[in-house]
This record gives sequence, C-alpha cells and structure tokens, in this order.
Amino acid sequence: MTENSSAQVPPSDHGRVVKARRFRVSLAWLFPVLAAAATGWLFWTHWKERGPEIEIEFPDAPGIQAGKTALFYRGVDSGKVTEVKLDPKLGHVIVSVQLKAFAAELAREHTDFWIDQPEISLQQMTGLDAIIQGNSIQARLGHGPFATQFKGLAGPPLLELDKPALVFTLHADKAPFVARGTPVLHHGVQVGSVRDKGLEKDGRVWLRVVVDAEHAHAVLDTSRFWFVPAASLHLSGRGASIDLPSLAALVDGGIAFDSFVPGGNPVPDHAELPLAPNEAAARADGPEIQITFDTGEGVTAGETRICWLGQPVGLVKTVHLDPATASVEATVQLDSPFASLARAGSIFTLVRPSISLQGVSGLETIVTGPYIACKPALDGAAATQFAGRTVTDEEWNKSIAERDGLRIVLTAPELPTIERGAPVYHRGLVVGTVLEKFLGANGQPSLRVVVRAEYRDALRANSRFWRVPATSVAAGPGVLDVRVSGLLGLLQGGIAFDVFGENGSPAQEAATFPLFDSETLASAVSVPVRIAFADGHGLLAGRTQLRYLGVPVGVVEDVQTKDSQVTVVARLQTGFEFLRRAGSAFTLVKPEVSLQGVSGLETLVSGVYIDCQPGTGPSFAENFTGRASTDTALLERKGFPIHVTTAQTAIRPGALVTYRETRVGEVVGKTLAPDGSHVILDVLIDEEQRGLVRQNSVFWDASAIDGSLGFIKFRIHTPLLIAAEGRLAFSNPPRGSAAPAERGATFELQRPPRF
Amino acid sequence: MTAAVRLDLARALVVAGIVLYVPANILPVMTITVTGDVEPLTVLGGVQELYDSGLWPVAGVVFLASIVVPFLKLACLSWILLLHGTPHLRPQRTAVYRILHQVGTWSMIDVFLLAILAAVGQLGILASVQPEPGGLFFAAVLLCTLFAAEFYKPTLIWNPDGDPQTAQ
Repeated sequence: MTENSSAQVPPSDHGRVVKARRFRVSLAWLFPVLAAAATGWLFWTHWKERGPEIEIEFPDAPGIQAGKTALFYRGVDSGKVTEVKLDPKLGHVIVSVQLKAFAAELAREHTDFWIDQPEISLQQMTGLDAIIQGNSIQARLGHGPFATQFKGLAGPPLLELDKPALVFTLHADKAPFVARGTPVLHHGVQVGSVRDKGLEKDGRVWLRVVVDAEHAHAVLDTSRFWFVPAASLHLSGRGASIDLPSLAALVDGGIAFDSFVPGGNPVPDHAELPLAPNEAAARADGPEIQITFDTGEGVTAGETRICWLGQPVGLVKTVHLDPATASVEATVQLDSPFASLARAGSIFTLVRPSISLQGVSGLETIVTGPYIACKPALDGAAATQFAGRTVTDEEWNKSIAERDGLRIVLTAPELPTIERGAPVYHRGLVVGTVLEKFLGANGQPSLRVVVRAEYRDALRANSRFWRVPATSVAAGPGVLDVRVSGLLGLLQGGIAFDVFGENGSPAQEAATFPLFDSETLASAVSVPVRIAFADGHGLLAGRTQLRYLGVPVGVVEDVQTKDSQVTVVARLQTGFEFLRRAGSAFTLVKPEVSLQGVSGLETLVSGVYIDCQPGTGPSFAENFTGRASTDTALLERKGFPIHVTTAQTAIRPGALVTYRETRVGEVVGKTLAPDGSHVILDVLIDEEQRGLVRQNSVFWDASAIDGSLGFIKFRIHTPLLIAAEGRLAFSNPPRGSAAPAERGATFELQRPPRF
Repeated sequence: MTAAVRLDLARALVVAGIVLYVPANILPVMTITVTGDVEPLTVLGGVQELYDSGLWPVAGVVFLASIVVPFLKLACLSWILLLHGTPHLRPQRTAVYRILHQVGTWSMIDVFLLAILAAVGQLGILASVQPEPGGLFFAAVLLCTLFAAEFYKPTLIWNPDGDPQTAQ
C-alpha cells in the first residue's frame, strides 16, 4: 500500500518518502553488513596471525606432513608445516613452515631446528607426545638477523633451550650403557646429563655432557669422573650390600664426579676431561708405576687395588704380559695423595687367598679378589719400576734365604712320611726345608735339604740329623710325654739336626749326612760297645736305651744273634764315654712282678733297657758280657756275703733273709755243690747288718709257718702265701754270742729253734 | 509486517548468506583429532576425505547436502528475489520456492551433525572433534537462507505488493 501510494505522491512529497525508505532499507541490510564484517574480521585476524614463512633443510624428515606437523618452541605451537619437498638433487628435505606472528622472532639466522622424534629407551622416554601427535619440529631461538632459509639439525641440540649451562666433553676408552640422557651425578644429585656420544678417530669415546648452570660450580678442574654402575653388589666380611645409586641410574648407570683433593678451579666451557671406568680408577690419578710379577693370577686391569695398611690407595690400570721374560707387568696408578708410596725399596706383594698348614692368609681376598699390598720404604728416591712379589713376606724371605742357603743330602735306609717341604729344625727353629726326596745313586732314599743362609753356620760337618716324628709319645713312671711337632709336623714330620759334642768345621755344600731315626740314635755318637746277653728278650735295635742311674745315656744300635747268644751293639752319648771302661756292668732290666715287690715297672711301658754300671778299668773295652737281672737294686747293693748249705730246700734266689722277722739281707744265688751232695745258697747280708751274723748263728728255712693250737702242732708251708722264693731266717743263741762271722762263712741250714 | 519489509529482509539475508558462504567453505568446520593426528576439516575437505577413503556415495551425499544444496538455495533465492515484481515465470518460481521450503527442513542437518559430533566425539587423547568457526559460518549461511525463504512468502510472487496475512 505504501509503495503504491508513494508512486502516486506529488513531487513535493518525494524527499520525505525517500528518507523513510532509506531508513528502512538500512535496517534490514544490517545483516549482510554484519556478515561481511565478521568475515572480514576473521580473515584479517587470520592474516594478522601469520608470521614469516621459512624454509628448513633437513637430511631427512620422518613423519613431517604438510598442513599438519607443527613447529614448537618451548612447547608452544608456533607454526605449521605448509610444504614438504625434496631439493632437486634429492639430497635434502626442504620443509616450509608458516610461522605464527608471535613466533616471528624465531626466524633468526642462528635459530636451530630439529625434528623431535619419540625416543624410548630403558633410560628414559622422550618425545612421548610425539607418539600421539606425530613428529614435530622443535626450535631453539638463536641470534642474528632475520632469515628465511635454515639448515635443520640432525638431532636434538645439547641444550634444547638457550639456558646457560656448562658444556664439556668426557673421554673414555669405552662407554657402555651411556646414552643420551644418562644422568651426571655429584654427591648423588643429578646436576646434568649426557647429551651426545660418539667415537673419536682413535677409537675412544667422547661424551658431551651438559651441567646445569646452577651446578656448574661443582665441576672443578680437579674433578674426576667415573662410571657409576647401574647396581653394584658389595661383598665383604660385614656382609653383602647392594648399591643402587639412583633410580634413574638403575637401568643405565650414570656418571658421577667428585674432587678427591681440596681446591680446584671451575672448568671452562667446552673443556676436555677424562672419564674413568670406576670410582677407584677415578681416584687413582697419581703417578703411574710398573710392577712386575712372576704370575698375573688374579691381577685384573681396572679392578685390582693397591692397598696400604689395608686401605686402597691405587688401582691396576693395565696388565701387560711380557713373553720375553715370562712375567706380568702391571701398570698401577696410585691415588695422588699416596704418590710418595712409590719409592725405591717399596715392596708390592700380590695378596691371594692362601690356605696351608702354616696358616691361612689373605682369606678376605676370596671375596674381595686379590689385591696388591704395598709396604712403602721409609725413604728412598721416587721410583716407577718395581719387582712385585706373589708370596707373603715370610715366604719371600724364606725363598730368598733358601736360594742362598746351604744344600746338603741326607741318606737313610728308609724315608717314610717325610715329604718335600718338610721343615728342618735346629733346636726348635725352622732353619730349612726339604727340597726333594729322591733315590740316591746307590739306591738309598735321599733327601735334598736346604738350610737357609742365615743358619748355615749352625750346620757343622759333625752335625747329626734325625727324623722328628709327627707325634711322639714318651712314657715313664709318672710321666706321659706327648710331643707334637707343630701342625705341620703333625702331618708329615720333619727333620732336626744338632751337634753332639764339640762343633766341627762348617758343613760343606752338597755334603752327605746320614739321617737317624730318632734323636736318641743321633745323639749316641761314641764308639760302638758290644754287649753279649744270654737272653735278648725285649731288645730292640734303635729303641732300647742304655741308662746310667736311670738317665738315658745311649741306645742300642743293633741286635745281633750269634753263637746262641745275643750281642747288642750300642752307642753312648757324648760325656758318657766312661761307661765303656773295662769292668763296666750292663744289665738288662725287665719288669718283674713278685710277692716281694714289683721292679722295673716302668719298662712295662718304655720297654726293657740296659742298665749301666761304670767299671773302674784303666782302659776302654769294646766287648762286655751283660747280665740279666730281675732287680737292679740287688746288683747295686754292697753286701756281706755268706753261704748256707743244706741237703735240699725250696728257698730260691730272691728270698728274704730275716733276723727277728726283720729283713736284713737276701738270697742272691742257689747253686748245687760240685759233687751234688748238697745245695749252697748265696746270701748277701746288708752291710750295716753284718754284725748280726755270728759264728754260732743258726739259719733255718722260714718258708713254713709253725704254729700250735693247744696241743696240736702244725706247720704250714708258705711259699704260695708269702713268697715263691721262700724265706731264710737266722738268729743267735740267747746266751753268749760268738765272734762275728767272717766274710764268705758257711752255715748249715738247721731246724728252726724253739723259743 | 508489510510486503516491503519482508522483501527487504529476504534480500538482505540472501546477500548476507552469500557473503558468509565464502568463509563457511574456506574455513575448517571442525578439527578431528584421532590419536594425535590433528585434522582441520573444511566442508569440501571433509568431502574430499570421504571420497579418498573410498566412501564416495557418502561423499556425494555430503557434497550435495553441504555444498550444492546451500549453494542452490542461495542461487534460487537470488533468482526468485531478482524476478520479484516482474510477471515472468511465476509458476516456476512458485515451484522452486516450494522445493526450497521442503529442502529447508533438512538444511540444518549438517550443523546438527557437527553439534552431535562435537558433543559425542570427546574421547580424550585418543580422539576429539572440535567445532571450528567455519561451522558457525556454515550455520549462519543456512540460517540466512532459511529465514530469507521464510520472510519471502510465495504469495509475493503473484502479488508483489500485497501482504497475504494482513490482506486477509
């Protein structure tokens, strides 16, 4: 309607209508204006967000997609890949990136770009987001003028952000288990990490390490770096402990550093530092010395420690086998504070577990492994070459002494139990060793023995050697003597020597000595004495002793049987030569048990012995006739001899002679008269009782006991009751004694008198 | 509401629709992130994606519904509005208008689908659907055509000056 009417309005009304139309139109047309504004704003903001477009050249670009892959800086999406293409020569990938406006500053000449790829190792997982989001391009802001062409890095740079930090390079022979991200620890705190590793031309490994700026002061030029194993097991006498340095290092281990000496200056950036395989090696930064061993058993490069006073002071760096000298040369590096241990004269001994009869040593090395013990010289010039020892000092000294010692040969009819290494004693000291057991030229078992240099004076030409049995038991009345010749001797025995008598001239090298079975034999050095016995019962060659006043003075060397009698060859010890004088008496003493008493009881245990009574002859004799006696006391007694005769009697030698029921003598012999008419009893009256024997003394047989019971008289023979020998009694007539009897007087055995 | 107002509103909305049609097709409608793979999709890109995936019937449907139909709606509306007031082709215009009206019922299905996707497709880090400004523009285009068609009554084709509701 309005439209219609407006068409018909007069021209004067025209302006108002137009005005009204215009107002209405502008209201409706607000929609397209708004739409255009919104669109325009959108495009304008989009254009405003666009930064410069850059091109980055990568050696390869895995996972980079145009339109999708983003460029991140500090984790912020800062641009988008718009194009991925290869250069005309197909040598590189050129990635075009549309930076966002706020990241325009990234387009600086020295900005680094790299492709962030997921890296999953046992050590760590990086770029996890890349697994989900795909690879991305990372940037690190650089300096310089704006640029559009960049060369991308092949891998992540050492420092992903431009934080200040200390970067230096470690050099090691090998670097197993070290990867990018391996922690660098100082006193257990991670202060940095390994960022890169590679090989040098000489095959060594370099590791680029970045230490946080806040910890950079901990790295000094005195710092020593070493590998920390992922886990280490310590075994010691105190038990076992497992050392896990850190959870991060659990899988890969890490690198630790510390300064072992005070002081030090901060290291400059990009310093080149050594990396030791372990802490001990890191500590060992002192002078290197060479120690030569005759065996390298147990010496391990990088593991074997040098210990001084039981504490580690160095480490074996390398072990070099020298075929020319058949020796092992260990290059040892001492800890710098202990450099002074390497002096001329210092002794280095390889300590290994040793279990022998002499003792147990180095037992701890079963667990800890062998080490080299250092015994430093007190003074002396610094030295670098040493001859190491592989035996204990004691053995070393022994071997040195034996090298310079006196070698002799011992021969014996037989050589049981003594083996190589058996000790040689001199007055209780071990002065030498049995070197060898062999059969001599004449078929005699022989021992080659060395007497150490310092004891060679003890060995004389007249020294006597004897075997020390492993164990000896000597028993006598009231004495039981068990001798065990040391632990070593217990098992194999040994050899002893000594000089009996005057020292002779020093023994000569390679001299031959006889080896006696026992000390007794060896010590009996006199001219042999031959003693004939009717009965050799119990005599043992080499065992039966000669005794004088109960003291052993010699030994039976041999027992021979000849002409129905036994001849004993005996030797006397030094100082008892007087027993060889003519007139000496030798009596075989055996145990006797009778009702009168027990005699020679000690011989039950010790065996028979030969009792000696020195003679008074002017010269020495060689042959003697021995006596067999049941009672040595009888032989020794000085008595007053008389004889008693009778037709027959049960009294035998050994019977007691009593006077008023008191023993005053003994029957020592019983012989038949030459014509067989009667029996003669030899009676020995004690010297002090001789006055009792008068010419009219009456002797009777007291073997029987007479008694009366009322009017019945009886007589009991008592041999079985009292003494097998019987008993001889005498008395003097009550009235008036006659003159004392003469020596050797003869009496008639009479009937017992009645009192 | 007079016929002139309706005509003006319809014309303005069609022009606005044409203006908005450009960013609606250039800007991504949504960003689909599947296992980290960020994929900003425009409407045409979506069709392309579907076609590349071998789902060409679906691609065809989407192409028709999201690109051809809005374009045709705008074109048809422009044609009807341009011929407004002239006696030419009135039955054809009416027929086209009726089709437009019928199709218009379904025209927001894309936007509806996008809204559903954005709401449902939130599977955290694995997958997510993020509506983008393009969707807004797309919805705006559709709204413009809808309202334009609604303001312009088919009676106006036959009676350019009349207001059928006020007339009766």
